[in-house]
Amino acid sequence: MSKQFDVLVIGAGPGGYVAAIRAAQLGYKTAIIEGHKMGGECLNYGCIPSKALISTGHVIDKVHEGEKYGLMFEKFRVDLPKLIDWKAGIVKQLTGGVATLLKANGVTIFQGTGEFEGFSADGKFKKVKVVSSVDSYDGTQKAPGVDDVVEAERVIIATGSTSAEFSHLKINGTSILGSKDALDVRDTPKKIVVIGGGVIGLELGSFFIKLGTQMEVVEFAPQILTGTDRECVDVIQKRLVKKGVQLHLETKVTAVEEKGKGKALVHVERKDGSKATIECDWALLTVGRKPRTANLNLDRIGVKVGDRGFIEVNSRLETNVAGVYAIGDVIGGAMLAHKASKEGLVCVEGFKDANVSMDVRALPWAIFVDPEIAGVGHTEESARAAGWDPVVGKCPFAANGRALTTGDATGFVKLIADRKTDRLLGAHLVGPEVSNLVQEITMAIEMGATSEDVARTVHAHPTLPETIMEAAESVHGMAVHIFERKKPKAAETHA
Amino acid sequence: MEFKLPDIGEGVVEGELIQWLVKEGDTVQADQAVVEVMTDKATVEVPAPVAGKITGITAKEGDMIKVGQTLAQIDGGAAASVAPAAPKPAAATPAPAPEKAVSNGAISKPAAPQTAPAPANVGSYSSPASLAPSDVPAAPIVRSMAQKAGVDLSQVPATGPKVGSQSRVLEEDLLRFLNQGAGAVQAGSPVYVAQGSSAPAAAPAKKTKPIPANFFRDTSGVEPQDERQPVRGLRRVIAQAMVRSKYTAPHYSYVDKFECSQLVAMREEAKKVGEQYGVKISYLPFIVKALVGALKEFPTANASLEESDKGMELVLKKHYHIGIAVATPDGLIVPVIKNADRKTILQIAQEINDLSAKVRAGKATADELKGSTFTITSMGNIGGLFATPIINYPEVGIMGVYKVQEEPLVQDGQIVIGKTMHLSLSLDHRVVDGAVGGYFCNAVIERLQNPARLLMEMI
Repeated sequence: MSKQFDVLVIGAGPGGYVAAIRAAQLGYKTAIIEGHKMGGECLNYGCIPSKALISTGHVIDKVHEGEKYGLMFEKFRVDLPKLIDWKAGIVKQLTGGVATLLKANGVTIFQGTGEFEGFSADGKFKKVKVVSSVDSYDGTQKAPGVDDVVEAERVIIATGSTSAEFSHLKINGTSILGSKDALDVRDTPKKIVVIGGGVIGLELGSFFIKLGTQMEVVEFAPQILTGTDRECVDVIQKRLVKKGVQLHLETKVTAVEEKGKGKALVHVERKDGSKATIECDWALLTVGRKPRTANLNLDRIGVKVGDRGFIEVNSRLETNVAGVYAIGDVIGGAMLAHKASKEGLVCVEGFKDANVSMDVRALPWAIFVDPEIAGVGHTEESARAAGWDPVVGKCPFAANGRALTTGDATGFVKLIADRKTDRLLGAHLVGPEVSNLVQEITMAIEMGATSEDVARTVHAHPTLPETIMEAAESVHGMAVHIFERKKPKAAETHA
Repeated sequence: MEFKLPDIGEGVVEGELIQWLVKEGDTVQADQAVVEVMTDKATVEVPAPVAGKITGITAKEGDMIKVGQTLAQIDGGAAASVAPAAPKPAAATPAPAPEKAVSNGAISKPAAPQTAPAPANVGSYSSPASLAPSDVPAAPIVRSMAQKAGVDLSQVPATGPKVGSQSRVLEEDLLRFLNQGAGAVQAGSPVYVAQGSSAPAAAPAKKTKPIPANFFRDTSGVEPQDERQPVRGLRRVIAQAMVRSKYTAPHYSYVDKFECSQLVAMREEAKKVGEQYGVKISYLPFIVKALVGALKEFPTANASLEESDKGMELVLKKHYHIGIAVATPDGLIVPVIKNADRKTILQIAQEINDLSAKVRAGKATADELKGSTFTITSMGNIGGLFATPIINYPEVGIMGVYKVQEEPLVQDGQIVIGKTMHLSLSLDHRVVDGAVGGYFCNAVIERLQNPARLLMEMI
């Protein structure tokens, strides 16, 4: 007799475990399958460990520029193994917390990789086999445990994504590292090459720069952080160049040659056909993510997968097979932990009410480079394309007292509102702590606020969010701390 | 040709239209079931008399339809001279109305995979989108409530602070809208219909919508409004039958209790015998037999009183058809054990088991639900002391039987543990006077208390 549940979640990442807890809260008999570590990519190899290192990186920077603040250090040294261990402790605390929360909510945890087996005789249940001998993270073999067959009326696939590779460039842990490997490096490299100038590569690369590592970035596109607000990227790009980082844009890596321990040659080819070789300790391959569906045996139940391997769902997160749902990275779109969590919550609430579907108007995001970039909603271009008439308000952090006292007043807050209605449409920020600042605008957009609402809301002094208030005033040409020569005509909000 | 409600037989003159099985514009084959009609006996599927296209549907679900009344037109059909085919009896319980299929909280029961409806618009979603000019300004909770209620927020009169020329829709705006019932879901609005249900055909306008549940907090906001449901199908049939009975037959009830250890002992033995035949034996077959014996002794209890132009007439029935009240999720249904006087205990037991299973599955035929001359209602599995049941008119009596319980009895000056059962009889005083009713009850009890007495009359 197999074990029966109302809801079965495959994958205990930020999508899966959140969905499982909410399902249990709503009274469903719930189980979750995880064959690696609780918490998924985010807690183990993504958001959390990388931020532990990046935050420490900021402290290292402060120490290095200590003289500026009158802080004189005589002997300063980074003990990287100790830092890595501290980071591991945080991860352990959080992943342990996930398991505790799941158990406290009565969610049954199965250890192994979930494989669809088919349907029960009456078609009501989906059967999923838990293969204990296969690690669900990378498919490697491990000591077998109990192989259960779990049956559930509803199954949520939340298996996430894994690092993309090229046929000629594969992560090997020695000359080519993936993001997971880079988080456990114990010897400070002298020089690294980041292949793929996207979010993950630049976040991790920025940490190594702070350790004194030299970095070169090879990016196939004409811009790093493709798809991000150009003005924000310019700030980052300038900072990277100032730190001595060499950016090879419109360039591809043709091969990585391993030359013994801690030495590799990265062969690149530019758009004009010219070639070069970069010597480094190792290369970091961060060229995107691909959905993790290999072990699921989706064809056994007929779940449809799109061209790029992502599982196709409707706005209720249901696949083409009734009762089978998918959330998070495995369905593509923005690969963000909080997007996966939200999809999990909506998916489960939809079990109670068939009318429930995704209705998110503002999905914030943040990139933890130096300084941080964050954004939500429309850019000017996308707003125009959607039929709005966008008007921009901007406030530089240089005009903000609190930003100056942090020692780094680089960057700005840019708000986008509709000229006619003054409705807030989006925001793009670069500068100190902007990953925390973006939330105010997210809330405002969800509430249907206007830029004037934000401008008229009291903001505490001296704080960084004052820049948001000033940017909102600037939409109307009325910012106090910036002299605005030409006031753009904004909305007649009292009409 | 005109598609009319054919003669369903059994003397039925009208029925309630439960559900159209096809819709306007559908092409149907001859003899294809097109509409479900419920009579006071059963639900029947009425087939198309000819092949053709359904147009001009005039009868709505919930309407009472007379035999011969036009339901729709069938275009392009063969000559109109063809007599409508006889309908095929279907379930005795009405099929659930489409709106019932919308899952409302509980885990819905998906059908087998090959029949499960494919979820709509798969592949249509990848990531949350950014704001569009058509997105009505409203807080997340208001949008969530509107989504659950299937309301297009642009239809809700908004009173919140202005965003340009548009006002924000407040929670109270939406609640007012839901309570006043502004109306049906707009066609083409992004509302997801529950799986398993077809999209609601023209939802009635000006219908209040229930305030959707929210697990974060109570969003009802205003005093809850009583829900008004149309009384249809079986419920309507029961309601009408009960009123007719209570207002025609002056009821009185007579209650007694008897010592039943011998009955219990006999049934225990019978159970073992029944097992050999694969038949579950309850107390009911014995009670049916005892009742039949008593009815033979008191013929006026197996009768009906008819009033016509010629005056009153007492019809003394010569058949002993015993109705057994069965509770189903849709309401009370009474299948009939025909000629119970000519059947063995085993046969009656088998028949009760079969009929109640059929009734609960909604599969009893009209024939199996009519013709009873006296009815038994058993509350043994519920408990209670006794009830005063309502007569299954035009019968003149109904007998309630209740659970067996152990209790102290005084016997020859000693307190002993005895087994007792209550019986209650509701009788039509126009036909059976109180004293007769009492003796009639005694006659039933006599047979149940003393199985030897019952055996004397066995076929």
